[in-house]
Amino acid sequence: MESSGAAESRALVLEREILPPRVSPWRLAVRTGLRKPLGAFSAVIIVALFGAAIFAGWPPFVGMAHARPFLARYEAEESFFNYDEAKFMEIGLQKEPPSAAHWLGTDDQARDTWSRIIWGARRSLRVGLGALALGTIIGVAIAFVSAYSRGVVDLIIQHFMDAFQAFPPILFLILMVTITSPTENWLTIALAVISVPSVSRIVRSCIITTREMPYIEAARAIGAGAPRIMIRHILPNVTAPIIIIFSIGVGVVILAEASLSFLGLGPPGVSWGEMLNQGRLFVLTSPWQALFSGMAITLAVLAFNLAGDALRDILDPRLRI
Amino acid sequence: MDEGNYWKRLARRRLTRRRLLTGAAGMGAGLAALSLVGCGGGGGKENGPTGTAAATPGPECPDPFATLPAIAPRGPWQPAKVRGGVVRWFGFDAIPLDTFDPHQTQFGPLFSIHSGIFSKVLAYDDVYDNRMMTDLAETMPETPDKLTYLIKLRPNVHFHDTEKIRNSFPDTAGRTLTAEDVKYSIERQMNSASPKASLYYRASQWTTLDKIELPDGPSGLTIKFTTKAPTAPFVHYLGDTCAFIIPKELVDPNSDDMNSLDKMVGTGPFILDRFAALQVVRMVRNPDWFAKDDLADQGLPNRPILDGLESIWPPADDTSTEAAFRSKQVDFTGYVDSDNVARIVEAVGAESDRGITAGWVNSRFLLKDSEYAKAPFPDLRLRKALHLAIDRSRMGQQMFGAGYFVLCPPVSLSLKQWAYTPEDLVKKPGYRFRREEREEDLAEAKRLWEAAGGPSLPQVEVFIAGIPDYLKNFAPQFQRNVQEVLGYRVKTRVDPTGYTELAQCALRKSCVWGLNYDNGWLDLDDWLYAYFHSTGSRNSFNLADATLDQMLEDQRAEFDRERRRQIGLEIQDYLLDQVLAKLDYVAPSQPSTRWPYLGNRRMTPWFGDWYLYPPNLWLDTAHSTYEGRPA
Repeated sequence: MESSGAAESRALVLEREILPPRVSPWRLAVRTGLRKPLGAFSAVIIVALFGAAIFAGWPPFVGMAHARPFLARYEAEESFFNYDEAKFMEIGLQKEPPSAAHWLGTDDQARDTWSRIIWGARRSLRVGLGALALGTIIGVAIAFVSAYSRGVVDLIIQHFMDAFQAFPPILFLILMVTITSPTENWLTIALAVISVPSVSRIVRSCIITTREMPYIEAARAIGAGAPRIMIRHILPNVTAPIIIIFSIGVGVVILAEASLSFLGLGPPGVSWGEMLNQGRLFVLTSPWQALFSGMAITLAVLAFNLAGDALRDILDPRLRI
Repeated sequence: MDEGNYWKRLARRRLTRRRLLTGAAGMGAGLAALSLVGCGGGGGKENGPTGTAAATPGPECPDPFATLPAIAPRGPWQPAKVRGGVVRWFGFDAIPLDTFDPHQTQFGPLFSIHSGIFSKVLAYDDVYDNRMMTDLAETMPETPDKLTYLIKLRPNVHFHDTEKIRNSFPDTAGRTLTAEDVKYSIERQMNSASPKASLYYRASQWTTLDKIELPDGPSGLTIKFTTKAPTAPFVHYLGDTCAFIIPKELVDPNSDDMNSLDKMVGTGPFILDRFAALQVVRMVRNPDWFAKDDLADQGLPNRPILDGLESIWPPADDTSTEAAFRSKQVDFTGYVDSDNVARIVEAVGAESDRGITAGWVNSRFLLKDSEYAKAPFPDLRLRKALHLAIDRSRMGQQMFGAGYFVLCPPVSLSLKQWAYTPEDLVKKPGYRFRREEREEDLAEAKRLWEAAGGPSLPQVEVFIAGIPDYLKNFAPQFQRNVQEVLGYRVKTRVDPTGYTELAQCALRKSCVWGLNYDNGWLDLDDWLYAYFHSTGSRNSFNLADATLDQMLEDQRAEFDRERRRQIGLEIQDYLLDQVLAKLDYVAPSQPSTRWPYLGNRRMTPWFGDWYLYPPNLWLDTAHSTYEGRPA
C-alpha cells in the first residue's frame, strides 16, 4: 500500500515530467511572440489601433476650457490659423510639413494630420469590426442551415451565394450606399452583406467535414437532436476557422470602407480613405497628406492579415506538427 | 532544441508569397519614412507652398486689401505671325449637360461653347469694365428716346456651312442671317405658351419689350425694339447669355427645342466638330466668319487664326495635369492645387495667368415661410449674426488655398463698374479681418444672436451643392465655424446630384439655408433685380420688400451710368444692412499656367467668351518654348 503522501509526490513528479510546465500568461505571450514575430508585430499594431480608437479623445476634461485630447492632441476638424501682423489677417497653417507642433504635418484645410488619423481609426475599426461581426453571425447561421440540411436547401443557398459572389463587391457597395442614406450604420450593413458569402462558404465546408466525425455520429446515436449537435458539438469545432476568417476579414472590410470613402461615397466624418482622396490632390505640394493616411490603411490591413495568419498557425493543430 | 529557435528556422525557410509581401510592405514603410525626412527637410520652408504663414508670409498669401488683381493686358492685340494649328487646354467645357439648346441651358461651360458657335446682336468687349461692342449689329443701337432701339445688322452674315451641315440641314447651311432670325430668337423666349417656357431663364428680361418690328421686312437687316418702359440694361440684354441668334428652322415646332448636337449651327467664329461628355469639345475654324477682318488693322486678318480649339476634360489629379502641361499636350491649364502654379512656372519657364472670376461661393436663406418650409431666421439680427460669424478669410483659404479673393460684395468685384471698391468693403462688418475689428464683429455676432433668441432656435439643415467638391469638403468646417462663434449646431446635407435637387428646392422655396457656387453675371441688373425683386426669376428667398423693389426698378430706369452705379451701391448697402438674404463669401481666382508660345490669351471673369479671344489666339512656332510641342 502506498501512503497518500507518496501518491501525491508521485503525481507531482508525473505532472512535472509528463505534463507541460505551467507558465505565466506573460511568459506565454512573450514565448509566442518570439515564435511568431509577425503575429506579435500585428498584435502590437492592433492593440495600438484599438488604443487609438478608444482613447482618441481621452481624457475627457469636462468643463476645462483648454483641455486637449492626450492621444489625438487636437479635434478632428480643428484648423490652425495664425494672425499675420503684416497682412492684418489670419493665415492658415495649410500643408505644413511634419513638425513638433504637428507631428504628421497639416492638410490643405490646416487640420492636423496626426489627429485626423487617430480619429479616423475609430471609423475604420467600428465599421470593420461591426460589419464583420454582423457578416460572420449571418454567414455562420446560413452555413449551418445549408450544411446541416443538405439537399435542395443547400443547393439553393449555394447557388444564391455563387450568384452573389459573382457580383463585383465594390459595385454592390456603391449601389447600397447610393440608395440608402450615407450613414455609418448603413455602410456597416452594406459591408456585412458582402462578407456573408465568403464566411458562409468556408464555414459550411468545415461543418460538412465535422458532421462526418465519429463523435457526431455518437451524439446522434445517443439521441441528440440537430440543434444540440450543431451548438454543442459542431460549433466549438469550427470556432477556430471562424476566428481566422474574422481576423483576416477585418482587414478586407477596412480596405473596402477606405475605398468607398476614397470614392467620396462614405458617410460624413473623418475617414482614412477620404483623407487619402483629399491628399491625392495635393500630392505634389504636400505629399504627407496622402502618405500618412495611406500608411495607416496599409498598416491596419497588414496587421489584421498577419494576425489572421498567426492565429491560423496557432489554432490549427495540423500546422503545429 | 534547434527546432525551437526562430532565427535558425528563419534562415532555412524558403521565400513564400506571404514573406515577400510582408518584406515589401516593411521596405515600403521604411522608404516612406525616409522620404518623410526629405519632406520636412531644411528646404521645405523656402520651397514649400505656403510656408509658416505667420512667420514667413510669402507672395502667395492672400491679401484682402489688394485691389483688383493684375488682369492680362487689355491693350492692343498681338499681331499673329503664324497661322493654323490647334490649341488645347484642360477645361470643364465637356460637362454632361442639361440641354444643348442655347436659350434653355443654364450650364456655365456650355455658354462658352455656344459663344463660339452662335453670335449675338451685341457682345461684351470687356466684362470687367462693362464695355460692350457690336457683334451682329453693324453699329451700336440708335436710341432716339429711352424706349426705342434701332439696329442695323451686318450684311453677308452666313450660318455655318460644312458638308455635314449641308447633308443634314440644306436650308440652313450657308444661309444668310436676317432680321427675322433675331426677332424669332427673342420672341421664342417670350412665348409663355411654349412647352419649354419655364426653361427660358432670361424670359423676364424680354418681358420689358413692348414690340419688335422689322422696318425692312423679314428678310431685311433692320430691327427696331420698343420697350414698355425705360430700361437701362436693355443693351446688355442684347449681349447677354440668352441672346444667341439661332436659325428658326432648326427648332422643333412641337417640342420647341433644338436639343441636338447636330443643330449647333450658328454664325460664330467656330464650328462645333465634336462634343464627347467628360472627354473633349473640339471646334474648328469658321472660314466665313462675318467678323474675320474686324481686327485686320491690328495684324489679325482673316480670323480665327487657328484651325481649331480643343477643350479636354481635366484629369482628376494635378500630377497628370502637370505632366500633360510639361509635355505640351495642353497649352494652358488650371490646377486643383493652386500652389502648383508658381512651382511649375519656375520649373519650366511657363507663364501664369490670374484673373478674378465673377463666380462665387454664397449662402441663401429663406426669409419668409413658404408653402413648403418655415423660414429659419426671420429676424434680421439672426442673419446678421451669421453674416458676422462666418469667417470668409478662413473659408477662402480652406477652399482655394492661395487662389481666392476674400472680398465678395453682393455684386462681384470683377465688375468694376458696379461693385463696391475693395477699400470701401473692408470697412464693412463681416469683411473686416484685422484682429481687433474681427473680434468686434464676433462679439457683435454673439450679442445679436442672443438678443434675437438664437440659443433657443431649433436645429436647421444647410443644403450644400455637391459640385464642386470643395463645397462638400468644407461642410465640417462650416458647421464648426457657426458652432464655435454662436454655439449653434447646424446639420449639413450634400446634394447627391450636384445641383439638381438644390435648384428644385430653391424653385419651390423650400431650401431654408444653402451653400453653393454661383456662376456670376454680367450686369448690375442680373446681380440684383433677378435675385431680390419680388418678381425676380432667382428670388428663392421669398423676399418681397417694397423699398427694395422700388430701388431695383429705379436702377433699371436710370440711363446715366454713374447715377445707376450709385443706385446700385445703395441697393448693395440696403441688402447688407436691411436684408441679408444672401451671404456672399469668397471667389476663386483660378490661377493657371500657359506656355509663352501661345499668343493673345486673355483672362475673362466669366463663361461665354469664346467669341472674344480664341479667334485671336495664335501659336508662335518660332518661339523657343514651342520646341517639342506635339502637332
